[in-house]
Amino acid sequence: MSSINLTGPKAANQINKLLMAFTEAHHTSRFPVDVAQLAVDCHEIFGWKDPIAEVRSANIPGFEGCLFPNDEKSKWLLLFNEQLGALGRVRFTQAHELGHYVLHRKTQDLFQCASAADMRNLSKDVQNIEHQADEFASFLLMPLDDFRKQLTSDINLDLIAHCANRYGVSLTAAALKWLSQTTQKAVLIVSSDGFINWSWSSDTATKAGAFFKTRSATIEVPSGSLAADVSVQHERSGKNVRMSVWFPHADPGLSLTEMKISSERYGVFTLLLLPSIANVWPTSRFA
Amino acid sequence: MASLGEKLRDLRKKKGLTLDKLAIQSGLSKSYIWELENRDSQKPSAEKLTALADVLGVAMSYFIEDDVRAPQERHVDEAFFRNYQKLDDTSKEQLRKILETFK
Repeated sequence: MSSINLTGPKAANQINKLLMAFTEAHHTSRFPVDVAQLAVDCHEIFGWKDPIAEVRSANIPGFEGCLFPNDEKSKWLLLFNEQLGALGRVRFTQAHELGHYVLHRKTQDLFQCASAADMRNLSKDVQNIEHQADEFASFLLMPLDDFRKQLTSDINLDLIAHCANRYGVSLTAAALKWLSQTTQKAVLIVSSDGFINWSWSSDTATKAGAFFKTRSATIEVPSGSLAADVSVQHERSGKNVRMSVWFPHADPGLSLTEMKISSERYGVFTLLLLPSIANVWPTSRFA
Repeated sequence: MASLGEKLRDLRKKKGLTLDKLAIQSGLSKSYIWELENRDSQKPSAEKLTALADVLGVAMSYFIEDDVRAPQERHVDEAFFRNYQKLDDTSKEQLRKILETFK
């Protein structure tokens, strides 16, 4: 197989086909993907001569993961911090570094991955590479066809949690996967101490104006939202909240569904589901 | 070693202070303190750090003592783009030792 013009999803799908055939033949479980084992076997799948010779943990404060060649570039070392967070987070980091190996190792010598906070300061090129590696990881760990089969009911946080559990990834990774493929208007918001850390919107939500620009502004969680209500720790199936609470320009008659999970360590995790007719752009003064 | 944001958040939580309370006691805005804790782009003045240090009961130098040092000359440092430069010296040294063993 050639590595020319491999995109993250394409490369991941090629690997997934082989993994599926392999696990069926050997009656082993398909999920979660054993990324460390796969990393060591990966060069064989593509017929490459420079294997990942070793996958090793390096629990160094501030470090996430990196992919490093020996001097001759005849082999690679995949390092990851296993104390970075829960197992799901670690698996995603491994898959991300594997993505650099599959997609980018010929273009850059060393990949060491930044934290979310650093991402804001990276140049466009690097961000693009990081995005591709994330996309690879997402498609490798959560193949779209299998993911869609899991969506057996209307979306709620129990269903997202089921997916996170099936694929051995974080709740965030599973929620982002759902957002990336849904046609529903939905927004994921992660906040701490009453302010939005970051947020991600589905395509249709973005087009309807439902997004938060957390890179350019510090945005407070609005009062009246479930996210701001400290007396509610979890609301997995969702409650109706007036849409104008979150989006001041929304039709005052419309409501959205707000779901919430909060924890001391990760802060507040919020999923907003907007009605399909929702449009929250400010009304043009020239209309 | 911890970043300014981490130090600030840890101290605030240890003191059992909410953002609101720290904002009132230090005279800084709540959103500004949240930015200091969560965004590393902020470059606070000594005056503001002193105000926070006073409320939290530490010396102002506690916030700045392990500021970024001059980049090291080793080639590994250059190969490491991105947040490698942000790791403190101890972490860099640990990482370098691991990578040097990989031949």
